[in-house]
Amino acid sequence: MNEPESPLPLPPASPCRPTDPSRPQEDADILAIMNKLNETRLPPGGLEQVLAAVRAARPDASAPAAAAPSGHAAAEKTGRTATPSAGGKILTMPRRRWMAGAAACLAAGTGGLLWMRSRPGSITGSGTPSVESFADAVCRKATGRILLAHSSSSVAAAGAWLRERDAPLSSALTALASAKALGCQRYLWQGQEVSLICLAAGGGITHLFSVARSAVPDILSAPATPHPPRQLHGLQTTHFADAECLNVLVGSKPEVDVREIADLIV
Amino acid sequence: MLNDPPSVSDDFVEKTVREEYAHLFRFVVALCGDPETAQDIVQQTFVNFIRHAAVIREPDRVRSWLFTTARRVFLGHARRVRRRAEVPLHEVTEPMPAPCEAHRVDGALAAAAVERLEEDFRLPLLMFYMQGLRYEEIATELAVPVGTVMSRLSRAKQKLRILLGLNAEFTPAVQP
Repeated sequence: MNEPESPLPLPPASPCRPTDPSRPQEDADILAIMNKLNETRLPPGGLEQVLAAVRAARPDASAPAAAAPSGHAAAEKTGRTATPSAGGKILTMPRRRWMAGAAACLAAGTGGLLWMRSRPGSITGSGTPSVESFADAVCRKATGRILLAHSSSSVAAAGAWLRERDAPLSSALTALASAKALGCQRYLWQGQEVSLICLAAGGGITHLFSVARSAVPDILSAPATPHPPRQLHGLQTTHFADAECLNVLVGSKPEVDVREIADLIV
Repeated sequence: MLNDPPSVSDDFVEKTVREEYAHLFRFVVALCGDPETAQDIVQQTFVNFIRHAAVIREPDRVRSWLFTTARRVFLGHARRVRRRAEVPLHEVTEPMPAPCEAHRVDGALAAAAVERLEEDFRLPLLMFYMQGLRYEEIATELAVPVGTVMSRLSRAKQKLRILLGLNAEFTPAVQP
């Protein structure tokens, strides 16, 4: 590609300023702690994912970056709003139409806000849905931050909250009635709704993720009762299918033993 | 300084992504506490960068622009989370692990402690230590007086020490 040299050379990398003389000495412990944050592991394939997104989002080579100032100048003269179109042509809009557009945007924004409030979060996943890809996706989710949509110490109450929202519900919940819940959440995985119930068990938190059987074509490969746990993304996990759902039990930390909950289901 | 017409090569954008991705990801993951959310925020930041790269006139401002944009994308995300009235799981579970010494604090524990700071304290702390901004710059970015930045930073450090059970006078022997 025949491109000019980079117009914006980058400054050298310096995430912290440990040598800055203005930093007080008593900050040494905090500086040590903050430097530990620079050891955070990068997600596998994360850089490639961003590069792919950036390549896909590249504007057309003929995009009129310089058109905006002239458009604004035209707007100042005519008293109309102006926006550069994809081809660089300046489009003008009478003010009344602009106001109508703004009102429509406001209405759409309010609707969007209401929709956002009820929309479940997402669990990243790609490819053909399968028992294994669901287990992989929810275990990866469990390594990150979990936000509870509903807090409750009762498994039955968490189940009722999910039922009200038509979220998938494991028929194994009745066996977990004696367990202490922390709360629940709903997600979307590959367009399918997923429910999560967090349980205080196994020396920490054990998550129970459930998705409807119909969402997983190879559901018959899933065992009816939990197998001995294995490690996935550094967390202990096992899965099983019941009459309604494919369920995955996963610890919130490597040391959490999911067998405490799995043993209740067997 | 750039001359018109502003144009940015594919190579430059990719070079920027490759050079800044790790710093930005670690900054954002410290802000939001979730690698998946951080990845989304970083991706959105770089997509925004493509649209604005041509008009960032001063080369030294690229990193600053990326960090500032990432912070704004994060704040938008945080607002959406608050609107949904969601509660971080750690807020309904047990407190932090037992007190420890600074040199024993690993990355995960440090990240968990920083995540527990309220946004008002976490932001200036990360902007100061990870983004490398000065008091005045943070004050401008957050639109608060310099004195407020200083007091929030001081309280953030105090809270961090309490969360990690650190002795304020302790001088750490940082492990390599």
